[in-house]
Amino acid sequence: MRILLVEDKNRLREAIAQALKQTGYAVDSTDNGNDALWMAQENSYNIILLDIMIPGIDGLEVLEKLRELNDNTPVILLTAKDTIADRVKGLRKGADDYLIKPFALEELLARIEALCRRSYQKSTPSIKIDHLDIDTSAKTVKKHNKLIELTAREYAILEYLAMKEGSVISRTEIEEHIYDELVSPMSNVVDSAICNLRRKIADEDNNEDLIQTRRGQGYILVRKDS
Amino acid sequence: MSSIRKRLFIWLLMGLSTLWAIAGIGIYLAVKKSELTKIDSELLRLQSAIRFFGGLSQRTEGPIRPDRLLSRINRENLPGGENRRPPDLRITQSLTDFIKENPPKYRIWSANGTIIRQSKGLSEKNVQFPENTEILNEPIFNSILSEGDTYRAMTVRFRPPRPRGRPRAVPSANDSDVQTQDEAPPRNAPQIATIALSTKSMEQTLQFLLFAIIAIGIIAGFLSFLLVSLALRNGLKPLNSMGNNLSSVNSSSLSHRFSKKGLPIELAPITDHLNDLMARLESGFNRERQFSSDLAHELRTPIAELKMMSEVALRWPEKKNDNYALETLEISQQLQDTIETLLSLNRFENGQEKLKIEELCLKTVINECLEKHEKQISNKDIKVDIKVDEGKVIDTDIGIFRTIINNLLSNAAEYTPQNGEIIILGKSNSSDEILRISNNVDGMEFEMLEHLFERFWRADNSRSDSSHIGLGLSLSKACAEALSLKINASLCENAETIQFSLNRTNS
Repeated sequence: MRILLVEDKNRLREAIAQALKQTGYAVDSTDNGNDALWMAQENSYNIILLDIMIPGIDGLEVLEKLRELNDNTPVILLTAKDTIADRVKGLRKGADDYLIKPFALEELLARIEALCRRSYQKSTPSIKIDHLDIDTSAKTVKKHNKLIELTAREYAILEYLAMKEGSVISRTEIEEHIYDELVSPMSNVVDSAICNLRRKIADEDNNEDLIQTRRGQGYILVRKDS
Repeated sequence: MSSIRKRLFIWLLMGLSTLWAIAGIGIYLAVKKSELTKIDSELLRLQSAIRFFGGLSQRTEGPIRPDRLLSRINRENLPGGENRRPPDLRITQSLTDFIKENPPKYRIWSANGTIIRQSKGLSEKNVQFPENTEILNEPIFNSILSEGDTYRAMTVRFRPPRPRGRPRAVPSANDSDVQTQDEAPPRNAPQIATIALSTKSMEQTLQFLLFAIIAIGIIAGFLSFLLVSLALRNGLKPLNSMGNNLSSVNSSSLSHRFSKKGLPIELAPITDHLNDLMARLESGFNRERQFSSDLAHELRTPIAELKMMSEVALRWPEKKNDNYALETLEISQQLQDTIETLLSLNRFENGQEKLKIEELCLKTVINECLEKHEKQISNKDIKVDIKVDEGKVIDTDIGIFRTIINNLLSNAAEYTPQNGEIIILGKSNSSDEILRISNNVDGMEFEMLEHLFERFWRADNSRSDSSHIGLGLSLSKACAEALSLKINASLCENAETIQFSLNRTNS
């Protein structure tokens, strides 16, 4: 999952970005509205975390312009403005959620997960595919009810494929959603991560991989029992 | 609580009632006067008949036969016209009138007070011989009471007519008349007579009129009650409507303005004042909302930073930032500065600070304050020109005055662009102006001047810069007012230089 974080306070921005990365999200961040608008148009994000009072064009204007451009990326407004009028204004401009500073990290993560689920039309944080149990809330994966160790990136790829189960996901799309802007498009981080992931989630009783490669198209997660 | 409706109702009703009462009394008195005038003119008309009686009494005794008198009435119609009618005919005519349905009462005295003739029904006690007969050349009218009846009486002095021809027997006006004299007075001697007519008819008329006036008054009072109630209800409807509109105003509807459409002209100025008041209230509320919002931002943001940094450090201790402790300290310091500045501002604005007045050298204080911003000034290559007289001293509270200068210089150092200039001017010969600080500035607009001293106001709406929170100039202003000084801000014409002047107030 790739998140755009727009926050002008350096220390806060860095702390949130670090927390999100540790949780497994790919994070791009900026401190002003102009860059935020440009980045949102250039890249595909699963969630945008947007402060309202930022230099350049303010957060609400960024949101308004995005909606005018038919960009329906879920947006959570992070702001110190706590009046009902401010909240109503933000939500009416097209925000999907509103979080008032100071907020708890857990709450932020929970809201991000909820928005992700909503965007993939999943109602519960648990996804069961054959022998795998994926808990999108705890960010854990169980194989035959036994916890397996995945890196944050590996988990993110698995979750993304599971969310889009049955659909072919291109390598570029995975890069866009799982890796931040620092990852070079020419690198093979996706391929190597998929390779590691296949090995870790492989079912010893069944040789068929859950994640299959569609040559020239990308990857697809298919249930064996389907 | 007094009520306009109640007050107007009482006053209008009382006023109308008074008017009705005055009108009723006026009508009653006018009718009474008219009735009295009618009786008085009747009495005057009877005067000649009295003369006739007086004349008869001088010539002969005993009553005259009424048929003789009545027989003379027919002579009135004899050919020859009125001018040729003899006086006794005219007198007879009066007498005919005199003895009609409403016979008068009379009493005739000789000049020495001896009763010559009188009719029945007038008591001695109520009709007495007047003390001063000289004033009776003109008749005197008065009301008398006799045997339970009220009479209108006329007293007059007259000389009876000198009769022509031989004396005759004295006629009697009617059977009730009596001859009371024993001896006839000298011929043509002056006599005094009182004639009285019953006022019973007039009293009946007046009584009926009084009842009519009272009845009409009650009906008029009831109608007035209804009319005043209706008029007040309709007249006060716009006030009620305005009251209802006012009662619906609350903090969320301060943008509402009252319409003058359909309002009476008397309420238009009130509506104007109310709209002005609403505008001021709205402005005040907006200012307070903005202050609360800014305060929330200034306090919530550093707390959010502290909280997020702490949570991240606790959750992923291996990823702890090396500068974590230093950053935490900076945030704490920033919070402390904000809170202390707010508290100081509150103290100064409420006049709670005790002043300790001492003599201080202006240039020394400026140099001390400039030292604090030396690094920032040198980093931006700002030129500082100090034109303060060496000997300029002022009596003030050093601590508070230093806060003012420090904030103004901090502001100048912060917002003067690279290679800009700060000019500090303090002349001894200036009576009101203590100090003037001007510096170059970028992006300043004339509209911003009015907001400069507002709490938390910053030219940068995003409030990204953590080094300033927008309280410095507010604090300077409050400090200046505590020292009976005033700070003015102005922009030069091209808005490239801003100038702050510190002046003594006239008070």
